[in-house]
Amino acid sequence: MSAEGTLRLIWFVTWFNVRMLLASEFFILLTFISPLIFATLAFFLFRSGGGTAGQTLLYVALGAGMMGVWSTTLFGCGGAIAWQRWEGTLELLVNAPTRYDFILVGQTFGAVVFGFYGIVATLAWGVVLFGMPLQATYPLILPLSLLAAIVSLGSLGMLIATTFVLYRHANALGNLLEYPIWLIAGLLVPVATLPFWVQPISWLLAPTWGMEAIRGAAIGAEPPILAIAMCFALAVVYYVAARVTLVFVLAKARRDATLSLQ
Amino acid sequence: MTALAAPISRIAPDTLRSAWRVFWYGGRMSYGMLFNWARPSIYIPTLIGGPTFQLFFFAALGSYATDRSAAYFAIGNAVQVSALAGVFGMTMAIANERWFGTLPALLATPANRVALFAGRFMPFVLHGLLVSLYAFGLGVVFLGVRLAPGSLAVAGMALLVTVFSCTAIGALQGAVSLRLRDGLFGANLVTMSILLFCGVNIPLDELPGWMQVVGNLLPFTHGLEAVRQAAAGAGLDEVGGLIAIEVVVGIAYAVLAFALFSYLERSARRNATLDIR
Amino acid sequence: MRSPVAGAPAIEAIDLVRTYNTHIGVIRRRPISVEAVRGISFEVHPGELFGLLGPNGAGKTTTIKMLITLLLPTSGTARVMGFDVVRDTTAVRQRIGYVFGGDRGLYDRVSGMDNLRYFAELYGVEPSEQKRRIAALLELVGLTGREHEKVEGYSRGMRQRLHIARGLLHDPEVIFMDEPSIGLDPVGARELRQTVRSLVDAGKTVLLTTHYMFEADALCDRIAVINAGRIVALGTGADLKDAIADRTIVEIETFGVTDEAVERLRGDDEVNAVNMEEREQSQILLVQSDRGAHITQRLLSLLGDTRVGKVVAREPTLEDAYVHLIATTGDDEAHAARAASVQLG
Repeated sequence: MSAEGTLRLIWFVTWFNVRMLLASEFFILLTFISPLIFATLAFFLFRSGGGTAGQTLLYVALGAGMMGVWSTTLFGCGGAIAWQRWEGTLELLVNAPTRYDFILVGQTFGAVVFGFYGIVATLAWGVVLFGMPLQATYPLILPLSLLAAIVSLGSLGMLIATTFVLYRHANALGNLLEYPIWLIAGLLVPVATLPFWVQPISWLLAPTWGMEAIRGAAIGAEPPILAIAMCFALAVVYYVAARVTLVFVLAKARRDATLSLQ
Repeated sequence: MTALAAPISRIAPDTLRSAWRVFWYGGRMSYGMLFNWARPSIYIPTLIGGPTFQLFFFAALGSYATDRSAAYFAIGNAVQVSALAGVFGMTMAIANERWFGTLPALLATPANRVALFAGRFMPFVLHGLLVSLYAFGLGVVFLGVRLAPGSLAVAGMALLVTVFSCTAIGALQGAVSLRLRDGLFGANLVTMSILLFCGVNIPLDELPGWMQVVGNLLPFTHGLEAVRQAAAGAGLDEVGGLIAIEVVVGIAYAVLAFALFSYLERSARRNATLDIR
Repeated sequence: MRSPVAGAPAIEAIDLVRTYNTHIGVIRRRPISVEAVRGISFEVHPGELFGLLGPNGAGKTTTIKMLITLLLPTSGTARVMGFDVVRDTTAVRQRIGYVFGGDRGLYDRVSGMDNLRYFAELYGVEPSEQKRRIAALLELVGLTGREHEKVEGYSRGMRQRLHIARGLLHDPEVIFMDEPSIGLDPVGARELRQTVRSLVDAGKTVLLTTHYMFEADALCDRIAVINAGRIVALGTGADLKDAIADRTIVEIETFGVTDEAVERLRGDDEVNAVNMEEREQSQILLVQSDRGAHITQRLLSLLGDTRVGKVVAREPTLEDAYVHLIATTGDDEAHAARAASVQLG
C-alpha cells in the first residue's frame, strides 16, 4: 500500500473510532465528566491546603484532564480490543488484507485524540466556573508538548492494545490500571513525593513525561525539553515493543485459535 | 409422557412465599452464575485491586494537598468501597442477564421482579461489605487508621446502614439502566458524585453551599459521618441520629426505586428495550 | 380474576400493531419509525399446532413477544387462554411457556440442572415437586445423565432441548416457540419436531415461528404466512398449495444464463415470478405463470441464445406457494428479491 493510501487509511480509522467513542455514553462520561469531577475534588483539596488560586487551578485542570486522557487511552485502546472480541469482529480485522497494525494505529490514536478533547473540557471548566486565567509560560513550546504527549500516549496505547488482543481477560485487569497510573505518573501528586522504588517506574511511563511536557510549557519555570525528548524516545520504544508483541501475538493466536473466544 | 401428565401444584406468584423463594433460592443459585465475565481467579483480583489502589491514591493525594492525615482519607474511601458495590450491584445484575440473553426468559415468568433482582444483586452487596472490611484492614496496617476499642459494633452498624441506602440508590439507578444502552454510565456517575459530594475526601463544610445540599440529599453522607465518629470512639447515643437519617434516606430511595422500576418495566415493554445490550 | 370462556380460542390476536421509534445518526439524531407489525389477526384453537411462517424481518418474533407479554402492542388486543396480555400479565405468564432458539438464553457457567431449578423457582413450582418434574422433563427431552454438566459445554442441540425443558417446567397450557430449530443439524431438528408433535398430542397448544417452510408444512395443523408485518395467507398446508394449484411451475435448466435473459423473462406479462437456483454448472429457473405449460415456447424464445437443458412442467409445492406469496406481497423490490431466494431448509 502506498504511503498516501496508508495515511488515508489511518486517518479514516482514527475518525471512525472517534465517532464510535462519541456514541458511547460510557466514554462521554469517562473523557468529559469524570475529569471534571476529579478536577473539582482536587481543586477543593488543594485549596484547603492553601494553594494559590491561579497556579493551583491550572495545575489541577491539566492534571485532572490528563487523568481523563489516561482513562480514555486505557479503555479506548485496551477496551476497544475487548469490545471487538465480544462483537466477534476481532478475528475479521486481524485477518483483513490491510496490515492490522495500521488499523491499530488508527484506533489507538483515535482514542488518544478523543481523550485530549477532555483536557479542553477541563480547561473550559476552570475558566467558566472558577475564572481560571489561561496562560502559558512557554506558549510556543506548548503545541510541541501536546504533540509529544499524543504521540507517546498513542504508542503506549498500541502496546496496551496488542497485549490485550491475546489475553482474554485483560479488560478486567486493565480496569485496575487507572488509579495506580494516575498516582505513579505524578499527575496530581509529584513523582518526587512517591517512594523511591516507585520513581523508576514513573520514568518509564508516557503519561509522566507527557504531563511534564505540557505542564512545563504551561506553568513551568523552565522549558520542558527533557520531557519532550523523553516522550518521543519512549514513543519509539513502545512502538517497537508493540510491533514485536503483535507479531508474536498474531502467531500465537493463529496457533491457539483464541481470537474468537469470549 | 405419563410422568409429565401428572398435575403439578404451583405457588401463586403474588404471594409473599413466592417472593421469598425467588429472592432467597434464586439469589443463592445466582451465586454460581455470578462469575460470568471472568473466573474467580480474575474476579477476585478485580474486586480487591480496585479498592486497594483507590485507597492509596486518595491517601497520597489527600495528605499531599492538605494537612489531614492519611487515615482520614482511608476511612472515607474504605466505606465508599462498599457503597460502590451497592450502587453497581443492580446494574451488574441486569448486565449479567443481558450478557446471557436471559432477560426475555426471566421476564416471561410470573416471578416477582423485585424479589428476582434483589436476589441477583445480593452477592455483589455481600462482596462489597467484605471488601470494605479488607480496605479498613489496609488502612489500619498502612495508613494509620485507628479504631477506638469497643467502636466496632457501632461502626459496623453505620456501615451496614450505609450499604443499604447505597443499594437503594443503586436500585434506582439500575431501574434507569433498563432504558439506557450503557448501564454503567449512571452507576459510575453516582459513585463519582459520592466521591465528591459526600465527605469521602473533603468535609462537607469546606464545599460551597449548593454542593452541601447535594451531599445531604445523597445517601452515604450521614452514614459515613457516623462511621468516622464511631471509629473515633463515639457511642450509639451520639451517632444514633446520623444513622437514623441515613435509614430514612435509604427508605426514600428504595420507594422511588420501586416506583420507577414498575413504571420502567412497563415502559420497557412499550419500547422494546429489554434485549438491547 | 376472570376465568376463560369454555370453547374460547387458546390464543387470539386482534389487529395487533407494533411500531418502533428509533434514531439514526450519532450527532444529529433523526427519529425514524419502523412498523414491524401492521395489523395481525388470527386465532389458535386449544390443542392446535399453529405456525407463523415468514422470512427474516417479517415480524414473527415481534408478534410472539407481544403475545407473551414482553412487548406492549402499539395498538390492538391479544388474549391467551382468555386473559388479556396487557391487563392480566401475571395470569398469562403463569400459563405460557416460552422457548426460543439460538445460542443465548441460558446460564452457561452452571449446570443444566441448576438452570432448571432456578426457573422452577421463578415459575413457582412447589419445591416438593420440582425434583420429580425436572426428572420427567429431562427424560422427555433426552438430557437425562447430562444435567449436571455446565451448559457452556452443551451442543446446540442440547441447549435447545434444555430450552424446551425450561419452557415446560410449570406445565403451561400454551407453549410459544420462536424459531426453535434454528442452527440445529437435521437429526436434531427432526428430534425437535417429534418432541413438539408429542406435546400437541398430549393436549398442549403450540405456536411456532419459523422461516423453514417445509418444517411448517410437516408439523403444523394450520399456518399463517407473515410478510412485512402482515398476514398474507392463513390456512392448512393443503389450503395454501391449493391457492396456486393452477399455477404450474416450469423448470428450465440453463447453462450460463445472463441476468438480462432472466430479466426478460420477469418482464414478460404472462410471467408472475422467476426464481433461480444455482447449481454447480447450471442454473435452474423456476418460472411461475398462470398459463402453465403453454408458456414454455415463449419462455424458450425469450431466453434466446442461452443454452438450455431439461425443461419440466410440474405441480407447485408449498415452497412455490410461499415464494409466490412473499414475492407478491413484499414492500419493495429488494425485499421481494431477498424473500424469493428463501432457504430450502
